[in-house]
Amino acid sequence: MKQNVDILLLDDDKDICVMVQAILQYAGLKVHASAQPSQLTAILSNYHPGVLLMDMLLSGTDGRDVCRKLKEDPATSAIKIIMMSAHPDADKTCREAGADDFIAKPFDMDHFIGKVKQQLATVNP
Amino acid sequence: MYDYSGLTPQQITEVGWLQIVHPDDREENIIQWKHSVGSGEPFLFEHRFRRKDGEYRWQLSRAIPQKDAKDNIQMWVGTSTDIDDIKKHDQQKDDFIKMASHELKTPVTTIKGYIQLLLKMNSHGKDPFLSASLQTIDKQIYKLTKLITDLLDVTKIETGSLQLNKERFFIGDTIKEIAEELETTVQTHKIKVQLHANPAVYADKDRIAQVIVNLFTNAIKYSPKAGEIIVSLNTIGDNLLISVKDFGIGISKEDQARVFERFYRAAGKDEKTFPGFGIGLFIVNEILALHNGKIWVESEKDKGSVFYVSLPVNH
Repeated sequence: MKQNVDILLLDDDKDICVMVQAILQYAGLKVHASAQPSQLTAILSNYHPGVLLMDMLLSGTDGRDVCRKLKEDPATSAIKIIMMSAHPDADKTCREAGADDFIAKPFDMDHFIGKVKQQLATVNP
Repeated sequence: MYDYSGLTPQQITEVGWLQIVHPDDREENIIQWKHSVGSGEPFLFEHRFRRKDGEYRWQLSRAIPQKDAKDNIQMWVGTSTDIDDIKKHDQQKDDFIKMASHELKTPVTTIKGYIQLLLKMNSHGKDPFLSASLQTIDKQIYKLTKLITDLLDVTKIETGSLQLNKERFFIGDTIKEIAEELETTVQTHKIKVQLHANPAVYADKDRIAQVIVNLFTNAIKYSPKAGEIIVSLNTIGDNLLISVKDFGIGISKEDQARVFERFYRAAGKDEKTFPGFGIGLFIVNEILALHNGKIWVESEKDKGSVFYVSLPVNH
């Protein structure tokens, strides 16, 4: 049986992964984090996230392609996806790939938590 | 145009030359052309033309009006130059700039995240020195991020790769939001907002916000002894007019002519005590020029300055 988590966090930068997980946990959210994008399929078979928080560039994998595939698959299309990037002009291309929201790096902590909670609020129980 | 596109004069006349312009470039093309025809200003535009083999290639199109003795425009004479190879080279530079921005901002993301988390965890106030130190670091990170963004903007402007993402929005609402946010952050100045109009504009919202933030922060920075700046918004004909007034150190006549130059800083003894690279107003000027807008200043030493921004209200 899958474990429910509020957030599934995917970022190939381990330091950012640990930092973002700490912020989300401080905000009272249940988080599973991974710095290995290749493990996403295995993780999704074990965890049921409300929101997938994912970096756009994942060391060999384009997060936008991952986003498109997840949104096209009925089994995963309901997962809200927030993409993050420090890349300029990433907002537009991530939303075009189907992301429900986008956060530019570096981000203000309150603004970041606000956006995550906003998407969580739209998740069907 | 006939040889390049493979179309006959009759086909061009019947359907118009816009048919060979790339669909993504047509709306902006019409806006720029109408602006030139209405104002008499030379037309200068980069857009993609469909060559007869079907490939879209970048062109630099230029046109100037031919006037009669009474100064009425009789016709327009122009050229289009294939700049596709140059554009591809510029694209490589642009890709480098974007990656450099990403690489510089990534470690800043980690630092900022931890600092803000530590600030929250120490918000109980039991260690005032720690809290004050963390706040100082947070402010410096904000400055560092802005510096990275500004330096990359300067590079983009120089390579002609500063792109605009235009949308329709109410500029008065944007001014109010920025004023409220900045007042909360800065806490040293009140920002009095006088909206005599609130027109919708077709512009790059983030870039126009960048212009407004820059003018507000400059006004605050250069008036440390005053507690207020005043911003007003009006419409005059087909243009909107924003003014940002401060009661600070002012700008001499000699410096007023040069403050919009890249890296230019006023040379006075007082002016040198203020931090900055001297690129903010250069970037603001370029952003406004890309929108067919203008910026100018009226100022008197030790009495303050008023910066004026004019932007077309496109329909």
